[in-house]
Amino acid sequence: MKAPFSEYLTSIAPHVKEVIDDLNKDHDYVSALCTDSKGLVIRIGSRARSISNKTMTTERGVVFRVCKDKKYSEYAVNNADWNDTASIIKRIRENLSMQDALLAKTGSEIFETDVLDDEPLTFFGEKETGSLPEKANIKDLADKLIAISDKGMKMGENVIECMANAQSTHISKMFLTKNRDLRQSYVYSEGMMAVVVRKGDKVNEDYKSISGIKGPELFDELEEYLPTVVKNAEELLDAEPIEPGEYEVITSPEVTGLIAHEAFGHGVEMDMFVKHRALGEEYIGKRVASDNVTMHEGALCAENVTSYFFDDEGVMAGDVVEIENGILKSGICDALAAKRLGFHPTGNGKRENFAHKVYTRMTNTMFDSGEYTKEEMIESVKYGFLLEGMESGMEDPKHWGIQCIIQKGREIKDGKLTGRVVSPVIMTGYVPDLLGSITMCSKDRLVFGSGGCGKGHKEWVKVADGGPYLKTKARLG
Amino acid sequence: MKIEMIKELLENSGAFAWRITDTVTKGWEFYFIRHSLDQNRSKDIENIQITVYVLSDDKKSVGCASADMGPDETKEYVELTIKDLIYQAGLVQDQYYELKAPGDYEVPALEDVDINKISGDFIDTVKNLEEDDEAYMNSYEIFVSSITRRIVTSTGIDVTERYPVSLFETVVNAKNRDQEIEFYNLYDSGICLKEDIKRNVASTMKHGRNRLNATKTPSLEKYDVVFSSDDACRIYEFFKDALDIAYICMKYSPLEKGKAIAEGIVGDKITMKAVRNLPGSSQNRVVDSEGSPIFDEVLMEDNVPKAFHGSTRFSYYMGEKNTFILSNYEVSGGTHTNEELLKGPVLECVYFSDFQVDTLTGDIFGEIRLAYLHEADGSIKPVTGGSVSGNLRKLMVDMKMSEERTRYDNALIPTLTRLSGVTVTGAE
Repeated sequence: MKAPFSEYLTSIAPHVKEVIDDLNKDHDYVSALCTDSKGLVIRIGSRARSISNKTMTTERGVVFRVCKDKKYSEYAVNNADWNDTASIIKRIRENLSMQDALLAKTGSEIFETDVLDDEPLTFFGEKETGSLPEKANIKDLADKLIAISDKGMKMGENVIECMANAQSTHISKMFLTKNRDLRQSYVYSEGMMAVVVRKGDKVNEDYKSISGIKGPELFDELEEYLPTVVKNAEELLDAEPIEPGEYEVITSPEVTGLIAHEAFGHGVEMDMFVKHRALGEEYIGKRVASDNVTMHEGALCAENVTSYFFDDEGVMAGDVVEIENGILKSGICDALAAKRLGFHPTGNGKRENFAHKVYTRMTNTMFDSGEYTKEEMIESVKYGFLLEGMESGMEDPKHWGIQCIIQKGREIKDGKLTGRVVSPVIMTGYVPDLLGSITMCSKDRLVFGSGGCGKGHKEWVKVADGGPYLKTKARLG
Repeated sequence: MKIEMIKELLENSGAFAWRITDTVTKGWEFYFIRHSLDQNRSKDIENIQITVYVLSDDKKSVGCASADMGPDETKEYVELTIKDLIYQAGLVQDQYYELKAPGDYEVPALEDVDINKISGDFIDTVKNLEEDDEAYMNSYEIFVSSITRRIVTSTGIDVTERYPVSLFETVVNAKNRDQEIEFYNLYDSGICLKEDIKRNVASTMKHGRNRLNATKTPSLEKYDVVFSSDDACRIYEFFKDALDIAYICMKYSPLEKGKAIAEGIVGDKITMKAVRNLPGSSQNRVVDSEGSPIFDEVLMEDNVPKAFHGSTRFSYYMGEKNTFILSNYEVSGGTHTNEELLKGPVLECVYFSDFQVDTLTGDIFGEIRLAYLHEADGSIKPVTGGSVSGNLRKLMVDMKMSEERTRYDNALIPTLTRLSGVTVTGAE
């Protein structure tokens, strides 16, 4: 079935267009992003269960962007009476006028930016989904998750909690300007189970998440991972700290995705180029990785949680080749940054929600596959670790430092896994060194979309990343 | 008007209990590149959250479901939503618990929050910071909001509070002929704290200049490390979370009231207190997000837990009647002067990529962006790269704290925290 576009947005479209027409009388550019995204969240634990309709991306509201004399301003609202557009227009004008007065009073100069392109474009897209969160059989889903949690609590002698969570969001967005009318609707879902274990005072946990541009039918896939998650959690109770040093490593696809995201995801967000905050600006056309590395970024380069038709600035989704055979080819760019840099927008302008600013943000950030099997890669390691489980990461685009917190490393000795597990593992280093040392990539690759991404330490958006198993050298601590 | 309508619908819904949280946000935002305005933004939004609790037929369990909605939903939509919530809550039953009755507290009269003035204070303050060609503001973002929050429950709680919340993000650069570096900071506060901003940015610029001359961090293996920035909050949050009633109930935390958190402590002991009002904090509230009154309370004294904090559900399960969800906290100063704690050999870490403490396992980790290596002879050398790691459950045995304290938004903690035996992986 098609994920139906919001009836609410359809109903307010004529009124929003009235506001745009009015603001266009004395502005050089006016756009409106209108959102109406509904969700379903079911959280099941042994002691705390709940259901809600709020996911990370549920929202309903409108944000107007205006440009006048090369200055851009925005007004976000969700408490408007759309039958009274005159009062909405008045509120927008009053707010912008008060802010202008403050800027004049403080003597603030403007970072002048040309008017955004507004070539005529009409689009209507509804993606396929198996079901909708707002129409889901909640009893079946809750029962399924309760059964997983109950079963997990009985597996393994050290299990003290087994959580099974499911969330699904039906996104509807409409982008309007004088010349553009873009409307899209799609559903994405995420499932997660986490098992907490305790032995004495030692507590640890393992988790498994799944995601996809699917409806709640995705959650049928969750239960099969339960035995592995319990086993992995129990293993962590006996894990040892790693001896710090540089090792040969094989990264599992979720760790590969973390590297992709931190290394040349944030590093080539081109709104950072405007502020000269990213070293990538100086390396376009230069080598930043080994010949084995090709990396893509874009809503079109994989089907997962952030695979939209168009971004929050009304730019159609893209597929950017960021690195090709080790050479940095391009960054990703939102529309305003593109105008400032004389570049083209790549469909990466995203907001946390309608009430937040657009920044250049990632969508799907992916390493390309290679030619080896995982087994061949392990056999090639004299001594090192197979790194599994993504915890978190942090980038440093100005200096290309990278920090990846990884759940565990499985020791490899003479081409074989020994069964010894080290945890936790912190991988740090200089991005070109890390990517420059990649010698093997596996044939298969996976996409992971259960995480969120911040700009600095705020502005959280959905992203997906992934790739194949990679063999490289890394500093672990 | 809307809230009264929702309240009436809930009262007649047959729900065992319910809560409405209505949050109205009026916000102004200003984004600057160097000192030129990138763009200005304004927001005027409202969110209404309805939470419904349903009792099982045998009255032994309670289910919970909630829905967020905008202010423009119709009465019919709200009615249907409440009906759905009652059905959904019946599907996810937990052990019986109750919402709290109104507490004994005084809510200050609502006063206007002047977001125009607060925004102006931020802009003026930043424009007048001392900068030069070597250290300067690369960019900054100012977020100022007036938030009005009303919490109404079936048990008679009806509290409305209005407060300012500000967020100030800075990117400070330092450069010489060979390189340019940046330091990112994000500051939370209620209003604009001019002197704090001046002090923090000046300190960041000083560190930036030193970062230009930093060498690679050597491999120090097990070493004493001093945490002298807001990253130290992560350390104290480990103890704060271990005192969370949910962690206690779920057995994630081994802490017990009256029993010391560890044996064989050779360092300073921790005294942690919940405080309702911490001057400058963005989280000064009369009640928490469930409507429970917040008050000053000693949570841990000399390493011995005295009280727990946390949500209504787990408080009920654990038989704790007076808990609340913690907002502000303070940690008493230790027994050491700053000079004693910075006496070498010690690595003083001032900037990490993202210092973290896993509050479940106690594992600590962070890539070093700038640290000062204090040698035994008194010399100090800036270093960069490499990482720190270890486990706080072991490291807390020898944790030393300064007498002097510093506030970071909602936390007042010792200015310096020194841990012994931290693993320092070098960058050389």
